[in-house]
Amino acid sequence: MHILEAKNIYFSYNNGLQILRGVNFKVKSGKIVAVIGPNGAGKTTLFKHFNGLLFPERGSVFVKGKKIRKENLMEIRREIGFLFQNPDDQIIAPTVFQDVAFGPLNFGFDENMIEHNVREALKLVGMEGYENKSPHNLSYGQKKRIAIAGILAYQPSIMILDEPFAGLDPEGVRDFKRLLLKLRKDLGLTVVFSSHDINALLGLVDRVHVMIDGQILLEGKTEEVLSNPSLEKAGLEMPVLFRIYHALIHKGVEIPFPADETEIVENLVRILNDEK
Amino acid sequence: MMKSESNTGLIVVYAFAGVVIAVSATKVLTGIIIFFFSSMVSVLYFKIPFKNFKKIVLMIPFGGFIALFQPFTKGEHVIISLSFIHIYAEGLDFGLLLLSRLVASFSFIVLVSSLHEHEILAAMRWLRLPTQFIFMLSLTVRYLKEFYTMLNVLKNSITCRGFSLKAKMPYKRKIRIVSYLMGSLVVSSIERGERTYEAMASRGYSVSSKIFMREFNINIRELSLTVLLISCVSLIRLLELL
Ligand SMILES: Nc1ncnc2c1ncn2[C@@H]1O[C@H](COP(=O)(O)OP(=O)(O)OP(=O)(O)O)[C@@H](O)[C@H]1O
Ligand SMILES: [Mg+2]
Repeated sequence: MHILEAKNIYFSYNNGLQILRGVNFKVKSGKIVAVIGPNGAGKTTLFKHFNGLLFPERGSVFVKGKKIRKENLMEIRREIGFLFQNPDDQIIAPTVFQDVAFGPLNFGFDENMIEHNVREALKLVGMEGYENKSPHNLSYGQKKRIAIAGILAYQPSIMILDEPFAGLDPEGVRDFKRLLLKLRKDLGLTVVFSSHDINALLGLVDRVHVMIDGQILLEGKTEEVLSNPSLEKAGLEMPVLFRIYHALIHKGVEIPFPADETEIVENLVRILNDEK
Repeated sequence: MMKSESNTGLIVVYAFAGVVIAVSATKVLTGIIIFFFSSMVSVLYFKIPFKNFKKIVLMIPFGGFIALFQPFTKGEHVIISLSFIHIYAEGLDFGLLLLSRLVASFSFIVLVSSLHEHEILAAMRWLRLPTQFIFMLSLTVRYLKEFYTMLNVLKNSITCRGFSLKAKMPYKRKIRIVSYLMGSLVVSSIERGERTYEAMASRGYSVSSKIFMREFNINIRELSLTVLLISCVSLIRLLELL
């Protein structure tokens, strides 16, 4: 069964422009899934349908098999952690502890549970010891971690992350990837996120959806989608690894499809040695 | 850790609110006595850094200057007369009252500002202020600095492009640029408000939402100090009324 499913949804903002045009989207439980696409493709708009911030004009969205309605919003939002692009929009309380406790308090956790969950969440994102700090003085990456902790603290089953890598340094991106993998492994979390950093997807996501102009153009396993030449036609870019692979094939070098950099390098070295 | 800090905040706020009320009394001397008594106790007990008090000392001349003139200007009963300068009893009284209120209010501000905002909020919660009110205040505390940062960003963006209030350009143009600045500040705060609301809703915000605050237990020492301070203040106020 799919833990999250959008069936043929259409949406336009008040100005009448059709932003989503028949989007179908399915995610299996425990998977990490990326949505890529150019600016203005409708990724954020789609994501806002996943926890009832927006409702489709046509079609419906299901979370754990339940259709999202105005009546069950709290129940749905309890299942979904939504990370916004700018952590400053998301962190609302005067101290880190109070902010991370905001979600659990709203969802009716008792006081001991809140204390426990907040500490665990801060530990998971590597921000223990910051409980009484004011969010204002934290760095961008630290704020992002606090925003994540604010979601983890109420133990949702799905995380929706809008451009989680934006604004992070390479180290930050690596840390974040590690964190997502850990969350999936330890908590069985399902993760859906959008990203413009194509190279960061390798070794992290199970499936990729390519969104263009309010529609899903391509969908499939990460390697298949990211090495698909039609990606470039859509104004996107393949990861460097796959571009090198395609260039080699184009030059007539017979080389197996690489899973990562070491593999392609080893194969090239082997070919070079054989020629000698 | 946060527990005792909050209590500190609570007590200081409480005691000094009392002091400010007390010095609004007509008898000046009592006010000053209470002020020194309670501030010394608070300073010693709560280990408030002495540098906070330097700020008061810096602020006193400003108001003190005004207070200084009062004895010469007001009243009917001349106590000292130096040829054409008269010092009036009422004026002296009023000047002293002004000075003591000034010192008390400034110390209140300095002491309170030596606390973290969240401690003051926690104190308000303890005083049973409505949760909605505290929630809004928490948001204000969180975002005030953000807006200040935002204002600076906007200001930098126009100064980088050569604007300054001292620049040589028509007055009207200056006004227009400043109003653009204000306008974009308003627009971006509305937009930010929208996004913040969405983010809050995603984490289950509803009308009954509140900010998490621990219930705190006041220990006997702190409680007795609070009681002592407040009853001193009330007692002297009461004696005055008799
Ligand atoms: N509140 C709104 N009102 C009207 N139009 C909007 C609103 N929000 C977004 N749009 C429009 O909807 C389209 C899709 O925007 P959306 O933010 O979903 O794109 P995106 O794929 O997330 O882009 P990006 O990669 O830049 O984040 C854009 O053309 C945008 O101008
Ligand atoms: Mg977006």
